[in-house]
Amino acid sequence: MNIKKIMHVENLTHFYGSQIGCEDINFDLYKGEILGIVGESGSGKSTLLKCLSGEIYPSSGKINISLEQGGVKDFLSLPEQEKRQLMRSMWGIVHQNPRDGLNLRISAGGNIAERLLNVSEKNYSHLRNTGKYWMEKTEMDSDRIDEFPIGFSGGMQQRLQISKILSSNPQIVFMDEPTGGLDVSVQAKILDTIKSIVRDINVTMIIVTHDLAVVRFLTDKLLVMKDGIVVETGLTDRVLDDPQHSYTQLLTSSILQV
Amino acid sequence: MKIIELKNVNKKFILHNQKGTVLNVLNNINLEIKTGECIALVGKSGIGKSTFLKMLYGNYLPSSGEINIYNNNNKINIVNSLEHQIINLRKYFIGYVSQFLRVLPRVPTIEIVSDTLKQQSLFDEHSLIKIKKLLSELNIQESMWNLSPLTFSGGEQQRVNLAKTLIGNYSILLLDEPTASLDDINKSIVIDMIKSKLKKNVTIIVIVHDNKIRNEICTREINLEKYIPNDN
Amino acid sequence: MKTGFNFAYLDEATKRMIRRKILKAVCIPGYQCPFGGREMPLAYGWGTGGIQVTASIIGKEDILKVIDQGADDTTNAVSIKNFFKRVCNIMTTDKTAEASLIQTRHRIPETTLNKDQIIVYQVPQPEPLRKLEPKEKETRKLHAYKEYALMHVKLYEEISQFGSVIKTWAYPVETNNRYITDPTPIPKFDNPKMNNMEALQLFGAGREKRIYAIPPYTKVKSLDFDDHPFEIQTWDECCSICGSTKSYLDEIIINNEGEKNFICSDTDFCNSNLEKNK
Ligand SMILES: Nc1ncnc2c1ncn2[C@@H]1O[C@H](COP(=O)(O)OP(=O)(O)O)[C@@H](O)[C@H]1O
Ligand SMILES: [Mg+2]
Ligand SMILES: [Zn+2]
Repeated sequence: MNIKKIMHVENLTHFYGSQIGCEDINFDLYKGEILGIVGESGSGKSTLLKCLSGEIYPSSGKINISLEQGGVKDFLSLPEQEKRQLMRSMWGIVHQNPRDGLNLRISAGGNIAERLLNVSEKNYSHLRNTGKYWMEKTEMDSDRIDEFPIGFSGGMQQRLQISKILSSNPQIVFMDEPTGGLDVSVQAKILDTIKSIVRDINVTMIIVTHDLAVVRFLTDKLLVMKDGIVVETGLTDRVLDDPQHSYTQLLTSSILQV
Repeated sequence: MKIIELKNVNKKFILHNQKGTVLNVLNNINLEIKTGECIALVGKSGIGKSTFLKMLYGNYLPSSGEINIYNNNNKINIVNSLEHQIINLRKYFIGYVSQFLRVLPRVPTIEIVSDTLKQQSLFDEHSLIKIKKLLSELNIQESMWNLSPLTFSGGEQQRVNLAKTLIGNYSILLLDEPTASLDDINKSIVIDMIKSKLKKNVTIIVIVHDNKIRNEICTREINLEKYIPNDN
Repeated sequence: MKTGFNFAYLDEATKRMIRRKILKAVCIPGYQCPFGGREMPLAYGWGTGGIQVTASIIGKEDILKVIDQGADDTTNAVSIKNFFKRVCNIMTTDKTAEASLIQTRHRIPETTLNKDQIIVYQVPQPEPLRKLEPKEKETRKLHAYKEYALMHVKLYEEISQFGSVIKTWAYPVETNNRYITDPTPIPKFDNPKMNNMEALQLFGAGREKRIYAIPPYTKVKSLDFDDHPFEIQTWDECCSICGSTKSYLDEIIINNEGEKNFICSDTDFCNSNLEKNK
């Protein structure tokens, strides 16, 4: 069995001025893996995710990515155009706040269509069917395809954002606290949806969260972060059930509620 | 043919947040298990039987040593292999029935069992019949199939837990007290199922307190007493 | 010259600057070149961009035609024509076929233009993405990286809401397989004329200070979907003056009962068609 490595991160470091954002991060991501990044707020999770998704340019380090067509590329030295193209189709970010990932002046279907049009899909009925398909996949009512997301609940907007990102069959999906801003009851339902989708399609994902239940529920492996560095990494159930580092032990005991 | 090999395996827990207390549990384990064996792990409560199984499953990390799993001509040391390799091993090769059922909330029983076959890419049009037959044999009533097992009784959860793993096509089964909370009728049903797995040359490592059951199914005992560290 | 103005009003340095921009625009079909627009003796919105382009390229031998919505005799068209007559002392015409230079607002003449002609469009808003993306910095990136999904989303939205694309004027085109271009508020009826046109097409936006161009024989494609192809307007009626069935028709209300009539928007075409049919 030979699973493809799609991202290799080496000594990745980012400083905000003299302040550490994240430091000396190393990991590999393989196709089909779901990687969780956990830690308290301020531990550097989002900084790391932003470096990985090209939103900020790290102070130092290396990110190698392998492309669908084959070959390995140095992500950090890609021209802006290629990075944008990646984010618009091959990769995708699900933002904590769905408003950051949706165009509220465009219908639900239009939001999904925009992503598909980036990969040059110029057939209206196909856009339409794909839009409906993904709305149903994320347990939305596809009859609402022509409604504007501004009128949707927060949970519905998040579902739409997820539909939009997944519709282009991305190679890597980045999620930043995807259920962070939602009511607890809605959170659980959305996590169910994400879980059922990842069981269904072989998506590779990096998900940032401070919620260990989310991590246990969704991820295969973990990076545990504290003060900008990774203190422990490994198979999710191993890290949670047999934590080695004192911070991870604190995190998994009920002593520290993050 | 050897299928599992432990070399110089030690396991201690360091409780950093409890003044650095060190629990030295198992020491210097060197042993081999052959394909088709049915091993009973024995030793008093708290000795480290569950810990032993969890290390074989990659759920606990040995403090040192190697745990090699042989799959045909492939050797995988699960102590230092990559996460996706362990996940893959768990998908196709090693099944584990924990002491307590651990499943995702809100997922119906029938789906939990189907999932094993889906993960192994063995799910086809005959699968549902097979699954329903297994659940019925384990005396899980049809009315419960579409409910999450998290609200079931201890014995029912145990049987769902067994169904989830026994439906699969694994070469190694790790069973942590599989019959502990079952009544005699269900016990003998489960024993029959374990026997039929052994007929298919599945390697089984089981924690079971009942001497009678042990004698009925096991080919060998491993007593963990001899791995108790001296300093304990 | 008795007017006291330089030929064509602009000073020679300004004309050279604008010509350089025009050359650049011709080299990169559909790309909007910023230029240092000058104040003209009329307000923005009256064709100052088009006038600057015309003034920079007009020569003594040129015969100028100016139309506004297809008509040669509206106030705007007439005053622009008079302006150039005064500052250039050149000939003007209403006949499309006779003109060497045509300045237009919101129409392309019905008579097919030829390789010896230049058409100058007055442009109110050169940026086709403006309504979709308000930030100029971002629209430049969208053009630079050819990220035009939003443009099609706009069409998608119209089809999903109205069953078909309802945009009937300023219908966006793709120039030379590259830049999305605003064809100015011409009716989409005129879009096919832009494709592979023999004449040079120049576009001047006064307020936004942009020049863009479509060189002769350039592919110009109206945006559409495979299963919702671009279509031009059609009429059941014919022109009530000349009887034309293949020109763009304006609807006019002819009495208090609201009775409607249709006539050619291109007055020169209508007149010569009537002539011909006599
Ligand atoms: N995750 C853990 N962290 C710390 N100590 C643990 C952990 N799991 C087990 N132990 C300790 O290891 C020892 C062996 O436990 P266990 O393997 O459950 O024994 P058995 O299954 O034989 O009853 C006990 O002292 C137990 O408290
Ligand atoms: Mg135990
Ligand atoms: Zn007419």
